[in-house]
Amino acid sequence: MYNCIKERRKERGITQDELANAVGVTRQTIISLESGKYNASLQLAFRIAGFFQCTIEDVFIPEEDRL
Amino acid sequence: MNFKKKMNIRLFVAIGYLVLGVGIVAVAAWGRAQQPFFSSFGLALAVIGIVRIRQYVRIVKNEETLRAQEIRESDERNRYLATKAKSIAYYVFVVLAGLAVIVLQILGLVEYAMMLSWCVCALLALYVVVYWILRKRS
Repeated sequence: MYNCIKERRKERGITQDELANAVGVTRQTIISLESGKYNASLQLAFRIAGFFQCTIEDVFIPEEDRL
Repeated sequence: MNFKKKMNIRLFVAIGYLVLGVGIVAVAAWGRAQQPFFSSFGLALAVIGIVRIRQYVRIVKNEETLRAQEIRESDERNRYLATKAKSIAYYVFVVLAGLAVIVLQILGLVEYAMMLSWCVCALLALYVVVYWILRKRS
């Protein structure tokens, strides 16, 4: 699953730590999400999308849809 | 239940460990249970209690550390990693124990081989039961 968390975070000018605190996870989880090593659960995906005030599809894109 | 409440319950449990540990050491020291097992067991329990109490007090005292601990414990990646580590550990144990049974049998240590194979069988049976229960519930 591809995601554009890093791009959206940078657009907002916030740190990984701030995002992690806002969505209730550790900074390590944000690092893993941004590097694509870990896929977020549906619950976390909703929280992240909610934080960026957009839909899940705007943040998380299935690999097959990117091609 | 909010996290602070959960931590307070853990604190009381830790105090319980300490009290129980001290109690066991006291009974062992007064000669009612002379085996060294009881005094070392009691001491270990008391030390665990003290360490836990220190940890919990440090966490509960500060709102920031409390929040950080809550995030650490509820973090889904941490939980995922813990579950994965358990499943890998289980798999490795079963494979290694299976190999050990064969080696023990070859070495003529039949009783040990039997005991270990019973452990492996019990573990596999437990896995099947837990899997069956989880499948029924979900």
